[in-house]
This record gives sequence, structure tokens and C-alpha cells, in this order.
Amino acid sequence: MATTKPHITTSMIATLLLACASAAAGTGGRSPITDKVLLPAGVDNSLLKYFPPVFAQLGGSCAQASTVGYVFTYEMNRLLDRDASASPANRFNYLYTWNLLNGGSDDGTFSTDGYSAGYFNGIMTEEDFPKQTSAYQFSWASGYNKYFNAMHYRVASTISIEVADTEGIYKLKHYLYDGGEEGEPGGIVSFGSAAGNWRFDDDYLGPSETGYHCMLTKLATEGAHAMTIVGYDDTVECLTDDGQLTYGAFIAVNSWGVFYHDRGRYYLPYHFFLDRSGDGILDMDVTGVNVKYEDPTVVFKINMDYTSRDDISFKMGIADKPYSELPSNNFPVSIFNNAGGDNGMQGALGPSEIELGLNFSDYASGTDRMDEPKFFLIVSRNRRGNSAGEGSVTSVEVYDYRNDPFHPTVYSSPDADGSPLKWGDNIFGIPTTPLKYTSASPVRWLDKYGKPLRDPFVVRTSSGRYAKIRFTGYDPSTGKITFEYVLSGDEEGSFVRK
Amino acid sequence: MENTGKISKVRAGARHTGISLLAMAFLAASCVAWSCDRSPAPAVSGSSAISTNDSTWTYYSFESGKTIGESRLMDEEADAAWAARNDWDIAICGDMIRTNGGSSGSAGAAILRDTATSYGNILNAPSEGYISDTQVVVKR
Repeated sequence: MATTKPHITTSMIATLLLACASAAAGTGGRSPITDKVLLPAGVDNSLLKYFPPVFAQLGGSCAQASTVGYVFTYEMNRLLDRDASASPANRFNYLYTWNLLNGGSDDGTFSTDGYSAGYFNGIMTEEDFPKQTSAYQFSWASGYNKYFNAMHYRVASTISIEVADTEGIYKLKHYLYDGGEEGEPGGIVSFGSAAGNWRFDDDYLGPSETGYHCMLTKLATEGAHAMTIVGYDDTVECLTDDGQLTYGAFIAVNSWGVFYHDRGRYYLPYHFFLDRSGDGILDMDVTGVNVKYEDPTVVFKINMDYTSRDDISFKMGIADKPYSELPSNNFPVSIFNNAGGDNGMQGALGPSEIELGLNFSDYASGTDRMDEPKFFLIVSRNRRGNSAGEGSVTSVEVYDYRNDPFHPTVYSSPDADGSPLKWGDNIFGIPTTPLKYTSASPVRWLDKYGKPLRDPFVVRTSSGRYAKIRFTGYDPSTGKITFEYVLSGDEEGSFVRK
Repeated sequence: MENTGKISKVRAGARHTGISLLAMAFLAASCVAWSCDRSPAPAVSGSSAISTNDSTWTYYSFESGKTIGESRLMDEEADAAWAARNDWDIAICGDMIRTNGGSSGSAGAAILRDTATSYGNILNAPSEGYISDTQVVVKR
């Protein structure tokens, strides 16, 4: 217990800081942490307004609870200087990414996969995501505006810091202190460990700058769990398994509610990162995120109805002519791809109809040099899971905000007529300019490579006679066409020459 | 193909006019010399080179064996003027071809692509399968 340990002294803190400061420079953080600064003895970012109230996760969603529920929420509010507790619009729903990643079952996910989902399409707020009280609802939100709102809140990049030695501990502390940006609030990170057979001292009363009373005393050896490091405290005293006194711990936040640990928080001693000789499980790499707030410029709106959503995947595309039948460039969609299990589009308990939004903004600059761009949505239907679904796409529209952010130009696909989706690719073209028509023959004289067809043609002429014709050459660069013909002598149409 | 040979027309005319036996004899003699053997009128062959581009229609006549004129693509006024003329058979603009019939003209022209017979082996114009002009998508 803390009462048996000697209190840390100011000189000891200075020694520790100097030891950390002597470590080699490294990378990571919102900007590379290469400089050395004298860090304060304790930092607790969970007390800042950017951090949301501690919550209890549903199901095996710990990785998304940490990365989206805590870290992304914190970083976005820090960027926008908003109060996480002020509104559900200022908190991001970890179930949004979890339900995109869990395959329609109560399974764990990888932290970085949630961030990947947020690269292009952003992360949905608690305000916009449907209320979910059971892990087994696996809800997907329906509503263009909800997805449009989410597209503003995006992942810019992820940050990885290796915490395997004193240098790594310093880097992480520095990141927690100011994120590598002098004078700015620090960052927070996700980390992985086990969460079974761990032990805590729930009555730590030793020295502390940050005031918590729960200390992890033995690393977990079973299971897999993700949690969040929100700060550190160099003054707390920790004993190793062999009874050696060490100083300092990170402040970890769990997602099991406020009644676990100390208001959901506990001290995670530094020494667990330095001594890996035991059987405790603790990931040495921690993950943070850089976020960005951007106004979407071009967005796809899709209305569809499908009964087994893991059959479905999407691609977006662009071509430069209204008559193009296929995109000249395809772009991946990072979410909704064969995801969500054998459920209807809105989840296990929701309807099979859904209205989705897909962000095309990052690709939109490619259309600037096109006079008549045509967008494409490719909906691929391939059987996945235990059941094959069926359904249709009833509407595909593109909202272009580039000329007026408040009054977008809307283009619709004439191909989305509610016909049943076929297996394989279903291509929906969204032209931005009308097709041009003229009077001409449906018969073509050039092949798809622009070469004259070898087949002969027969023309009934203006005088009622007949001409057989064979094109013998075409030079597109000069426009010169050569051909030979035989014109019948009369309306009988004989091509016999005498 | 509709068969309306000139001989048939001449014979029909003879039944309804009071022409003389001499004249009839002369006509019969002419018939033997000219086409009573049903041999077709001689065809004429040729080759041509025309110039066009993706934005210009070039009009061509097989009877005169030459280019008749040009018009701009999507020029509706010019299209209407050319549609009223009967002195051209086909027009070409890039990958598109136009005949003087259907929605492009008033002369009843049309075209077919023969995928089964080589050019040299087409001895008589097919009797059916001709496709008239209509509104098509401009791929420019």
C-alpha cells in the first residue's frame, strides 16, 4: 500500500525528468516530438472540457470506445475548442464504427480500423447516431444529413508511439503534455492490454499530483481490451512484482463506467512498460490520432433497400463524358463493404431500407478539368455470410456544394429505378450534363478502336438505286476517309458491271 | 426489295393505248435488244476520298461520285436544309454516318451492314434489313 512507500521528493522528480530528458529524440505526436522540455510532474487531460464523461461500452466494442468514444472525441473538441459535455453533438459515437466493423456479431475490432472508417466519411456524432441500448442491435444510421454531418469530422492521420523504454515513456508523456505543440493542450492515446486476472490497489493513498486512488498492481493475463491513456503522474509510487519501488504512472481511463476503478480511471505504472519479463499482457505501442474538420464538397446520396447487408460493397467513379458507360477512374469506399453481417441495412432490429451518404470530396478535384463529368456509383452484390439478400437501389444522387455550400447542385441517376440488384456489379451513372442527340444512322462504320469496319455496307440511295460500299481507310488526324463502292444501274439493285 | 422493272411498266402502257402494230413491232424489237432478257442495268463502280472531322458533316452523292457539301454538327437549321434535299446519299461526321432518309432526309435512303457476305460477293442488294436514321447520342 502507498502508506508503506516513501514519498517521492522534488529532487527525485528532477532526477527522473533528467533521465527521461537524456533519452534520444524520436518521432510521433501531432508534430514530431524531437525537442526536450521540462515536463510537469502530472498531467490529466481527462479533466479538460474536451474529454467526454466516462461511459460504459456495449459488447466487445472496447477498441472503438477508446479510439472514437474517447480519443477522437477529445481530439476533435480540442481542435474546435468545444466542450464534450455540452452536447451529444460534441461527442462521437463509438457504435458507429463498431457496427461497421464487427461483422454483425459481438466481436472485438482493431483500433486503427475505426480510424480508417473515419478517413473519408468521417465519424458520426452521438446526436446523429440512433439510440442503441443493446450490443446486438448492430445499428447503421439512416439519413443523408447524418452522414453529411459526420463527413465534417475526419481522421487526418494516426500516431503511433512505442513505449518500451524510458525514451518511449518520455515521448508519450510529452505527447500527453502538449502534443508536441508548445503551449497547446496535450493529446491522448489508446492502448491495448488484457483485462482478466489483473489486480488493482483500490485504496492507493500515496503521493499524487492527480489524485486518483486506484493503481494497477498486476497486469492482466487473459482476454484483450483497449483503453485510453489520458495523462501521467510522476509522483505516484509503485511497487514491482519483486517489491522494487518505482515512480510514476500513466493515467488510464476504462470504458466500463464510472463505478469501476476510481471514477473510471486508474494508474498504470511506467514499470509495466519497462519490464516485460512477466506473463502480463500490455501492448508497447499506443495510438493517437490527428483530426481535421472539413466541409464536404461532393457527396453521394444513396437510397436502397437490401435484406442482408454484408452482400453489398460500394465503389465510386468518374468519367468525363455524359455518355460514358463506365468510369474512367474508380475510387474505393472505406466503409459499408461486405460489412454488418446478415442483417437488413439498418441492423438486426431495423428496417432494410436505408439512406446513406458517401463522401467524394477528396476525389472531386479530378473533375475540375472535365467539362461534362459523369459520376458513377458501383454497387457490388456478392453473397456473404449465411444468407443471400435481395433488394434494390431506389435513388442515387450527387450533391455538389462547390459553387454554393448552402444550395448544392443535385444530379440524379436515371439508372436507379428500383430494379432488383443483380449479382456482381450494378452500375449507376449520374451525369451532370444532358446527353446530346442528333439525327444519324444507328449503324456504325468504325469499330471500338476507331478503325473502319471490314464488313461491307449497302445503301439505298436517294434515287432508289443501291450502292454497296467498303471503307478502306480512315485517318483521324486528317479526317480523310477512303472508300470504294458499286452503284447499281437501277432500282433492281444488281451490282454486276458490264 | 420491291421489283418495279421498266419493262413491266412499258407493257402495261401498251395495253391501254391505241398504238399501231408497226409501233408495237418496233417496240418488241427494241425489247429484245434492250431488256427483255431481264439483264440488269449496268452498275458503276468508283472509289472516293472525303474529308470530315468530329464536328462537320460531309455529304456525298454516289451518282455524282463527289462531295456535295458540309454542315456543322448540331446545327439544326442546316440539318433541316439538308433533309429537304435529294442530291446526297450519305454523310459522315467522325464516327457517325447519316443517310438521306428517316429523321435525316426525305429521300427514303437507308443503310445496312452486311456481316455475312464479303464485299465482292454481294452481287445484288439485299431486299430487306435497311435501317433508317433516327435520333442518336452524340459522343463528343
